This record gives sequence, C-alpha cells and structure tokens, in this order.
Amino acid sequence: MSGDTNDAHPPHRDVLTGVLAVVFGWFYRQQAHSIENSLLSDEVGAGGVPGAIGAFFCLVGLALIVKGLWYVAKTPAVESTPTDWRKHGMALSLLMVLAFYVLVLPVVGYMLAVALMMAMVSWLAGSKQHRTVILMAVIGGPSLWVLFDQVLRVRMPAGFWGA
Amino acid sequence: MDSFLSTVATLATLSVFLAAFGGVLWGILGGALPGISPSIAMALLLPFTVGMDPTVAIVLLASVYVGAEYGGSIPAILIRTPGTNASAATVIDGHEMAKQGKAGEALGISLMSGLVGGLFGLLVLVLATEPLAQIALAFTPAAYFSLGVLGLSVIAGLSGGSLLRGLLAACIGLMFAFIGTDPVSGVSRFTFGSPDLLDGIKPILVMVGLFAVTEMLVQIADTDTVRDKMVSVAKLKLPDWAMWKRIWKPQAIGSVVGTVEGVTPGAGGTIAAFMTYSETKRWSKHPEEFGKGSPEGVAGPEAANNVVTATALVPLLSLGIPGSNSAAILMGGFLIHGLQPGPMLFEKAPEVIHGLFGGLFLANIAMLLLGLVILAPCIWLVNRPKPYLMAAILALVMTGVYAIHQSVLDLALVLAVGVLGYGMRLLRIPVLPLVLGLVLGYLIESNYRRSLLISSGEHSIFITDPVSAGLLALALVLTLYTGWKEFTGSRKK
Repeated sequence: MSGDTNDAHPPHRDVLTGVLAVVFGWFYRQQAHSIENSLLSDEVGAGGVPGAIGAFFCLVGLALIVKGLWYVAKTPAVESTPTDWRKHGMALSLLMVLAFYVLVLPVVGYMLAVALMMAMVSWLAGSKQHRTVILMAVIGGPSLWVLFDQVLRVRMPAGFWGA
Repeated sequence: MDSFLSTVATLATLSVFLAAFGGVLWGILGGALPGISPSIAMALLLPFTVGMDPTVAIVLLASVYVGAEYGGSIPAILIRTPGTNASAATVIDGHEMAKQGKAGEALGISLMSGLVGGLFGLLVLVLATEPLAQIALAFTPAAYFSLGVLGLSVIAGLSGGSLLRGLLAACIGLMFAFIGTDPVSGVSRFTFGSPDLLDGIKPILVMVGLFAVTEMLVQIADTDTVRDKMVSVAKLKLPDWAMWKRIWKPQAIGSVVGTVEGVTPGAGGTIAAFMTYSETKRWSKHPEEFGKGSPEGVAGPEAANNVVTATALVPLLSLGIPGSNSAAILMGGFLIHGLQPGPMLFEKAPEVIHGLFGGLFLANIAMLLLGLVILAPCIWLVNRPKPYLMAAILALVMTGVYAIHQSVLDLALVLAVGVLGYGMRLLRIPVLPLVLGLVLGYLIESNYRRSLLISSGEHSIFITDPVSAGLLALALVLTLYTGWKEFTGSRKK
C-alpha cells in the first residue's frame, strides 16, 4: 500500500482519522444511551460502559485532530503522493467476488459456490492458465466438501442440489 | 514415588501412546483450520470416547488440546491467519519472518517454544496444582476487572509508536465486545434486531477478518507483492545455539505469564500470548525489531499459549472449575466416565490423574515429532504460485468461518471486518490493540459492574481488594514505564 494518499504527510492522515473518530464516537455514544434498561439493570446500565467508551473515542479523535493540525502548522507542506486507485479497485473486485460467494452459497450449494470462488479469485489474482484454474476449482471444491462435511461433520449448505 | 511409577507405567501403555499421538495429530489439523477451535476439535471426538478406558479417553482429549493450540500457529505464520484465538499474537512477527523468507525458521522457533512451554506447563501442573489453585480462589470480580485493566496496559507496547491510534483501535475492539446480550441485565445491545448477534461476536471471526481477509485485499492490491518472495528457500529450520540464546528469555517470560493466566479461570491463552508479546518487547535488547520479524516475538507468545494448555487444567483438576471452553469439554470427558473433577479426584481416581500427566508428556513429544513431519509439506504448500495460493487460502478461510456457526451472517461479518482492517491499514491504525480490546471487553465490563453491585456502587472495592489493588498497581507501573521508555526513545530520535 505504498501508494496511499498522504504517505509523505502523515499529519493530514491524523486529522482525517480524528474527524472520523469524533463522528463515529459521537454516533456510537448516542446509540449507547438509547439502549433501554430492563428491571434487572444495575446502576451503570447496559449503555453505561459503551457510552463512556464512545465519549473516550471522541476525545482521542479530538486529540488526533489537534496533533495533526499542530504538525501541519509546524512543518512545511510536502506534495502528497497521488492515490493509486487501480490498487483499491483490485481490492474492491476481490471483495465483490467474496460477497458473491456469500450470496450464492445458500442457493447453489457449498461445492459449486466454493469452486466458483476459487476460479474467480485465481483469475483475478493473475492466473493465465485457464486449464489449471478449472482443474483447481474442480478438485478444490469437492475436496473441501469431503474434509468439512464428511470428515469433520460440519453440515455445509446443499443449495438446490439438496431440494 | 508410587505416583511417579504410575505415571511412568502410563507412558509404556500402547493405548495411551496411540491416544496421545492420534489426539495431537487431530488437534494440529483442527487448530490449523480457521474456524475449528481447540474446543470444537475436542468436542468432535467426545462421543468416540464413551466406550474407551477413562485414562485413554482423557489423554486423547487433552492431547487434542495440546495439538490444536500448537496447530493454530502454522497458518498464523504462513498465511497470516490465526488458526486459534491464542495464536493471533504469533501472526505479528511470525508472518513478517515468513515474508522475509524465514518461514521455516519461524515455524521451527514456534515448534520448539511450544514444546518448552508445554513441558514447563506440565511441570507446573504436576508439582504445583494444589497451591496454584488457591490463586484461582483469590480472584474476586474486582480482581478480574483489574486483571483486564492489566491486560489493557500493554496497549502502548502494541501501538507501533502511536498511542492515540492504539487507543482508537482498543476502543473499536471494546465496541465489538459490547455487541450482544448485556452481561448483567440481559438487554440486547447493538444487535440491530438480529438474533444471531445475541451471543455476541466470536473473537476468531474478527481476527480472521482483520488478519486473513485484510491481508488478501492488500495482497491483491499490491501487484508487486512480497508474497512472491516467500520463498523457495524456506525450509524448516530448528533454532541453533545462537538462536536459543536469543529466545530463552522470551520463553521464560511466556512460561511465567502463561502459568498465571492459565491458572486464572477465564483469562486464557490469548491474553497470555499478548501480554507475553508486550513484556518480551519491553525486556528485549532489540525492541525495534518487533513487528518487523523478530524471533523473540514468535518465541514468547508460542511458549505462553502452550503453557496454558497444561496450567488451564489446574483449576479444573483441583477445584472442578473449567476455566475455558476446552477445559469444559475435558470436564465433559471426565463426567462421561463417572469422574467428578475436583479435590476428591486425586483420591478417587489417581490412576487417571497420573495417566493424564504421562499422556500430556507424550503429547508434547508427539507435537515435536509430528510437527517436524508436517511442517515441511506446509511450507511447500505456501510456496505455490500466488493466484492459486490466494484462492486456496480464501476457500479455506471462508469455509472455516462458515463452520463455526453454519451461518452466512458470519461470512458477511468477516468480510465487513476485512474492509475495516483495510481501512485501518490505510489510516495506519494498528490492529493488535483492537484484538486486545475485543478479548478483554467482556472480562472488564462484566466484572466492573459485578464489583459495583457487590459494593453497592463503591468504587473503593477495586483498591480495598488486595489482589485487585496489586494488579492495578502493576498496571500503573507498566504503563508509566512504557510511557517513560517511549518518551525517552522519541527524544533520542
């Protein structure tokens, strides 16, 4: 991830992290305080400790903002490296493949879903040998099914094959 | 003398020998598969122990525990995926060593440190079960709270030079820990109406997301990835004399921390491993190497989590208290055979206790021998071409995650945590404090509130309880010492 924005200028990253922390911490704190207590509740309450952590999260975020701004004011600006969006695009593509696996798993069943996922991941990661990709998917899916479903007795989704 | 002879006699029994080796092999397989925890690996074998001789059955289950705790370190080092919660600390330097072409060395250190830890733990179990059980009895809710605070005091050492970012990460970990049913009132929190979240989020899910999924996202994003260098020269390499001189101290630290954490019900190997990592770094002559592939960073945590496999049995055998899921499964093994763990067990069934001691010794030897056999093919496997390796890792990880609860929600959760980890890397937020916060969150909150219930809201209970006060004082000293060291270090720079 060497091409990330602001690599050469970490104070900006401090400010960004701080702002995100303050916003999220505030939201989390509000959510914690909206938790209703039951009759069994103690003095602290179900939302007490999470609320305190949310507030502390905000404070740490504020400290990061102050630290970042202080450094920005103190040090001369350095031209930041442009973000390499292609790299993040690759990561997003992999995420999409994995999300696809999660979505189709209950529908098409484990063996087919995992075989498809293996094929797509190896293709995405740069494999040029289509025959090897197919072979790996054809062997990998059933092998994992045998290991988990048959040997370890973990019931894997059968999908429409089981209907 | 009789008990010694009885233990030695156990070692010569073929059925115990087979149970120890078979159990360790099964345990290594289970531990190495993400999603199959030591307790699950043990539970899968539990039904088969019904017809067995009690000694053989208990040795089999205990050996699975030993094997699984060790097995978790193999994927932690090779593919940055902790097979068990306790092996998460091994990821840090173990995988860094692997990226530098030292996977074989890291695995060798992990194996030998696991052996040292396992044998030390066994020694403690044999010699000091009774006195150490008193430590477990001395722990009140206030002391448990302070133990959690002591655990959090190592955040500074795990923050990679930015305490503020480390604190943010620890808070995120605590936030994960708060998801689920409130430990005191039973109200659901942050579950968004999903019944699947009422039990909270298993730490292993977060760890797999943070380490494995994030790593894969980063790997695919980096076309010039270092994995290609991860390497044909990586052969299994056991520590030589020079390396032993370097890793004995981390192993000693891990042995002490693992003993204390092991005998404390509920503390466990994960906390022991992280505390050992932090203490090893604190006392190391090369603290700057930690996080960049330090052998000491592998040796300490591995010794600690293997000590716990034996010392976690102290409260079970002496008091009948199962301090962890794995100990609870082992207790199930005792109960199936009509044996009630506790003080009377030593009088009613000494042959089973002596058999267990002998069996644990055999299990540690089996771990060494099987480790030597298994590790070479493991190294060969991770040297396959990157596209196929990535596909295989993700298939294994996603399958393992599904296996935990047979839940699609878990898969979605792991992906979400993977994205969070990717974002944290972009923002340079360290992930280790997050893991620590996650592991300690329940311990801290539940015992904080229980203590206040006992004391009618008086916070002085944390100071008046001697164990609690001692632990808090230790946490304060460690925090101040780390802060002072960091401060002087940054001034020197």
